[in-house]
Amino acid sequence: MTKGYLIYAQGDLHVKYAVELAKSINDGLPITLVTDKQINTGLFERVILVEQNTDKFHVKNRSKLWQYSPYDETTVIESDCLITCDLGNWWRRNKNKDLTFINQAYNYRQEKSNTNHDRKTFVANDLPNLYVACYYFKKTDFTKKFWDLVYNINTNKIFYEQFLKNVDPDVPSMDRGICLAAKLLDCADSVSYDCNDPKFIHMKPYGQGLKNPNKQWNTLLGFYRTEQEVFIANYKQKGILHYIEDVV
Amino acid sequence: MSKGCVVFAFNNEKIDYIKQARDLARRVKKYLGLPTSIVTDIDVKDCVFDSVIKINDNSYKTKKTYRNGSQTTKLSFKNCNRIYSYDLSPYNQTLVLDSDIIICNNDYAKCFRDRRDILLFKDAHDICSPRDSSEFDYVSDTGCDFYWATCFYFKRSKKSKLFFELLKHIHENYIYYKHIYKIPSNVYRNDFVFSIAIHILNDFQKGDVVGHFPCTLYYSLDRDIVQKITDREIFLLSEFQNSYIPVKIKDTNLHCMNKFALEELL
Repeated sequence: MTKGYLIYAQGDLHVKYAVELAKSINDGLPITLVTDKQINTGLFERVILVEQNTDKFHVKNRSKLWQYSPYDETTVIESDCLITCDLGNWWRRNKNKDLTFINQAYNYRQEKSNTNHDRKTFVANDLPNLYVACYYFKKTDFTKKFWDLVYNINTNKIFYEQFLKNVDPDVPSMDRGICLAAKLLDCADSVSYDCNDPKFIHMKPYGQGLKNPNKQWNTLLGFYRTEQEVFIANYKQKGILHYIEDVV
Repeated sequence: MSKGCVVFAFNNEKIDYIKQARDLARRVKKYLGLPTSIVTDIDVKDCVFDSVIKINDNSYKTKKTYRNGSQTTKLSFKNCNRIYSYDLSPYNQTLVLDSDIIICNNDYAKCFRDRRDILLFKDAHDICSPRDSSEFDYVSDTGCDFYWATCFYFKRSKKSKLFFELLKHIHENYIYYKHIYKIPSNVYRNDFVFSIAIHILNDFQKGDVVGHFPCTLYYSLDRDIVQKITDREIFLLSEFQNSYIPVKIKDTNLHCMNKFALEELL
């Protein structure tokens, strides 16, 4: 069984993020980059070229990543993430699973995030709380069925019209796509990674538990890093850090 | 292993902290069966104390607004000395208490049976529960967890010594740490210094380098007016939304922040 990481990045900025992410993964497993432009760096085992997507969240390409993976077991991590912990537990706990998504976000203080501000659509539609920023899969029939449905949701507006109300913003998004798919397939529990190791640190500004948040967290919270460590507002970050803003 | 309580009492222009310390020592003896040593900067001859440790006050020259209900007064605030608790305490196991804590039960005795080296309160409870107490969650809106230096326990060990050495370092470089942790208050607070030290010793994360005190800390604000104190009961008027709620607590320890009202009743 081969194991490896898959990162998707379109555009120079996200390719830069992908490089930083690849540098932060230090468990020796291979990393494949799915992108729209050739890149020469020794960090990636493979670079798979795909067509450029023009929609905001590149949902077509990202809904087909399971097809591109060269590995039997794959972990997909969004490019604007850094890994600041050991992912051994993630691989061990997922060994007997087909597909799992992170289901709990934490803030920079390692407290559970209140994501209601950013997930109004999820609340309004009683969607499960899954995050596409980090997920695991094997290439099984179930995984195919799941991602085919996500692709259909993200490319056919009728799904949104029929199954989702009060959608904000009114464009397809990967998080909404996977959560609606999990709801329709009634598999939210089985695809939830329900363990806090690794922690998923989600730097949505309004999920940080601040009394006076700002639209950009990095205007309030200092960010710095060394070769091995990342700090936000003097808190050492241990986990999968989804930093979102251009701080690296 | 010798056990005892240490209280820091440095009088200012108006407030007689030594008078508060006397009452505290009496209650510590009654409820905890322990001796109390006082650390102060003036001569105190009083048999209520096990020992009097006289030091030169090393505080920053700061003033603080003291409240007595709705009235306010700006007075000197000499509060930088408890970082020397490890060096000054005559005991192997030490409970350090603010002089404005009113002891009405033996809860604090539990700390002497705890296996951990250092104990502090991370959470405290306002006696007027509807009030917003979020200012005590973190040292600042973006900063680390808030711990109370009002009441803490330590036993002599390498870990405790390291902790107090770190407190001294933060004290000596307080302006730097105040900026790093974005502490808005201009008043030097032991709570901040202790909280920062705990954050650092926890490797800049949440952690358990210090234990949580095995009982509950209740406090009343300086906006509240203490009306009567007996050995077991405290009666207060608790301010809430510009009116007062009568509160009676019994067999419960209280950190009473209205020093004026407290002093009048002792």
